[in-house]
Amino acid sequence: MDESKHRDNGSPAQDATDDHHVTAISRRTVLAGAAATAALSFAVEARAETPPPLAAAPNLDAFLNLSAALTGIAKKMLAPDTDSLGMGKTYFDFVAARKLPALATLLQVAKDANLQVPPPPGGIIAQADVDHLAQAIAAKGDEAKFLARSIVLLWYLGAWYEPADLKAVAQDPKHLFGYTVVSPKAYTQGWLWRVAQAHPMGYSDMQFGYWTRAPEPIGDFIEFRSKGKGA
Amino acid sequence: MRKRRWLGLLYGNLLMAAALMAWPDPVSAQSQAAGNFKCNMLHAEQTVAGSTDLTSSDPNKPTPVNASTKDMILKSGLPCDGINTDKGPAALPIANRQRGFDFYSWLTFIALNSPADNPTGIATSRPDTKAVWEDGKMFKPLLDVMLPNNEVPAWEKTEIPPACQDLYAERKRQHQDRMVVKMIEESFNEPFKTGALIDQHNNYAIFDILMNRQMFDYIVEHGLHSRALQESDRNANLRVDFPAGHHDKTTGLGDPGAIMLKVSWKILTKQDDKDKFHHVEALVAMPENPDEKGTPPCIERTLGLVGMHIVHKTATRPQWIWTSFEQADNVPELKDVQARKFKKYYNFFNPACEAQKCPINATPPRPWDPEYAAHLQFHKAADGKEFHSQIVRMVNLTDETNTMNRQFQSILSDTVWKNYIMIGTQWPSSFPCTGDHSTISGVPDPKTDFDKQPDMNCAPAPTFLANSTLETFSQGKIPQASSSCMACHGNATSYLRRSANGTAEQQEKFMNQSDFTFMLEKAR
Repeated sequence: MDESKHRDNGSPAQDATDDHHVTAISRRTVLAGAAATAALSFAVEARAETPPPLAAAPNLDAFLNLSAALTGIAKKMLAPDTDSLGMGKTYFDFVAARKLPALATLLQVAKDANLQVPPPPGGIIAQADVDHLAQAIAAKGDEAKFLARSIVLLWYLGAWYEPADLKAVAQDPKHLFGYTVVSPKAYTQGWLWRVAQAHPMGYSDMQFGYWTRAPEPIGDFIEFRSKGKGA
Repeated sequence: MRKRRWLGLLYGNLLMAAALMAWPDPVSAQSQAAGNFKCNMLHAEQTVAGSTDLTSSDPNKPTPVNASTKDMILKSGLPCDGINTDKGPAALPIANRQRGFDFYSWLTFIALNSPADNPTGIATSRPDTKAVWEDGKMFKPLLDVMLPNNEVPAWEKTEIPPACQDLYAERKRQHQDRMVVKMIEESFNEPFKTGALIDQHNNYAIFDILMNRQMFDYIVEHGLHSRALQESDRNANLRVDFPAGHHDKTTGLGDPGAIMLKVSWKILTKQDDKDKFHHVEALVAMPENPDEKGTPPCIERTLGLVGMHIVHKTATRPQWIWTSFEQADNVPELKDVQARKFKKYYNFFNPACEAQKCPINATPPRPWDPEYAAHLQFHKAADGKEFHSQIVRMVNLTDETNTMNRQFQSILSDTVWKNYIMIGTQWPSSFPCTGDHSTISGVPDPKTDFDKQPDMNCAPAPTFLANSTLETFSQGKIPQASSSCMACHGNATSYLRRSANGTAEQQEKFMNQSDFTFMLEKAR
C-alpha cells in the first residue's frame, strides 16, 4: 500500500500539552487533538491491500465496542445489523493489517471492560463506562493510548494517522506528519460530518433543499432507534 | 329540420355528460386500505407450513427455482412489496436480504414481461409477443403524460407525433401494431448528459420512460403534469408522495402502487438474430436537433430490448426498490476483458478490437444529436470511419446474482427471456430510517409522506448499481460520481413552491422534492 507521506508546515497541534500531562484520555481531548491533527499535511489515498485473514467475530465485536465507546456514536450506527457499507470490518481489517502489537492489547482491554450497549432509542455507551475504559487504556501505556486515538480519527475522518506520529505531535507540536485516506467510501462516511450535522464536500445523503431548514437534532445522526418515526 | 338537429345535439351532449359522470374519480393516492389486487406472495424462502402469515418463511428452506416450481413461479404474478428476511444460508444478514430482493426482482420482471393478453403465459410467449408493460392500458410513456399547453393527459389516449401519423394510420389499416417511441434528448443522451451509446452496427441506443396507472393517476390528480400547476398555489406545500405498493400478509390482497420503468432499445438489423431479443415493430419520432431546420422524421424500425429498469415504491421501502436487467449479450465484464475471455459477439463491444484502437467506455465524438438524414445512424468521421461504443461492465456481477440468473434462465429456457440477466437490486437497508412515517397530522395510511432527513436514501444496498446500457459512462464505485440509483434520484426535484398560505407545520416541513423521480421536471 502506498503510504507516502507529504510534509507540510501546518499549524501546531493544539491541546497536545494537555494530552501530555493528563494520565487519562477522554473523548474531548482526543477529538480536540484530532481537529488540529487533521489540519496538517496532504492525504494519500490508500490502495487496496490484501486484508489479514477474516477477523474472528469476538475480536471484531470488541473492536466495534471499543470504537463505539471512544467515538460516542451508537454501536449500531457504526455497524448496523444490515450493514450495506461494512465500515466496521473495513476499518478493523485496515488496522489489523498494520500488525501493531497494541491492537491485541486494546481489544483485550475492551473485552475486559465488558462494555454495555444500552437498548434503543439511543444506544450510546454511558460516559462512566467510557471513562473507565479510557483509564484502562492509559494504564497500558502510550502504544495503546495513541492507537486508540488513531482509531477514533479513523472513524471520524476516514483517514489513518500513525500512532507514533500522534505520540510525537503530543510531545512536540511542531512534529510534521501525514495521513492516509482509507478510501473514497471512508471519506464520505466520516462521522465528523454527521456529528457536525452536515455532510462532506461533494457528497450528501441529505434531501435537496435541506439548507432551508434547521439541521435535524444530533441524535438523528448518531443515535440508534429500532423503529421509524411516526411508526 | 333545424329543431331536429338541435335536439340531436342536445341528446348527444346529455349522453356524453352521463358517460363522464359514470367514469370513476381518479384513484386517490392514499386510498390504499381497500386493495383488491392479488399480489404475488412468493418469496425466496418457503412459507412456513400452516402459518396464516403468507410472508413467514423458513430461512433454511430456499424456494427452489427449477422444473418442479417453474409453473408456479412463472404464473405467480406481480409482487406488491418485497418479502425478505435477514436469516438464511448466507453468513451475513444483508446477503440474505439481498437474495430476497433479487428474487422479488425476477418475479417482477417476469410479471411485467408476461404477454399483455395472457399475463400468466410467459412460458409460451414469443420474442415479439407484446408484454404487459407495453400495453397502453397498463403503462404510459412519460411524454404522453407531460403534455404541452397544460393539456390534461388521458390514460386511454396514445399521442401520435405529427411526423408519424400517416405511417401509423397506414399500419393500423393493415392491422399491424406499432409501438410509438417519441424521442427527446434523454432518449439518446444518458443521465447528466454523459453521452450517447452506439451499437456495433452504428445505431443509436434508444431510451424510454414509462409509468403505471397508479403513478399516472397521482400526477393527474395533483396537476403535476403541468409546470404551471406544479408552481401554482394549488400545489403549494404539497409533499409529493406516490402510492406505495402493499399487501395483506394473510390474504395476499393489496395494490402494487407506483411503478416506473426505463428501458433501452437496440435497433435490430439483418445482422442481428432477432430471436435473441424481445423485439417490437416501432415508429420512432426522432428528437429535435438544434443544429437542423425542419421537422425530425419518423422512422420505422425493429427494436430489441437491451435494458430495463423497474422502480417500485412499496410501503416497506418508501425509498423505492430499484431493479435492473439487461440482455445477456450486451457487454463483457471487466474480469472477462482482463482474462481475454470473450463471447463471439456483443451488442456494445467488439472482442476483435484492441484497447488502443477501441478504448473502453469512451464517449462518442461530438456532436451527439442524431442527424435527421442519418435516421439514427451515428455520424461518420471525415474519413468515413464509424464509431462503435466499446463498453465493459466495470463492476462484475456477484456470484449470488449469477447463480440466481442461471436458475431463472433455466425455467425460462423455452422463451426469449432466457437471454436476459438481472444486474442487481438496490434497496434502502437502514430499517429505522426506511421505517419512518409521516408525523404530520391527518396524513392517511401508509403515511409514506415523511421527512427524509437527515438521510434521504437510508443506506442503499448495494451502494452502487449501473446498467451498462443506461448508465454506461458512470459505472464504478466513487461516491457521488458513480451510478447509484437512489443517490442520484434522491436529488430529483419538481417545480413545487412553498406558499405563504399553508399552515405553520406545512411551511416548516415543505421540501421541494419529487419522491425520487425526475419525471416531474419534465412537465411543460
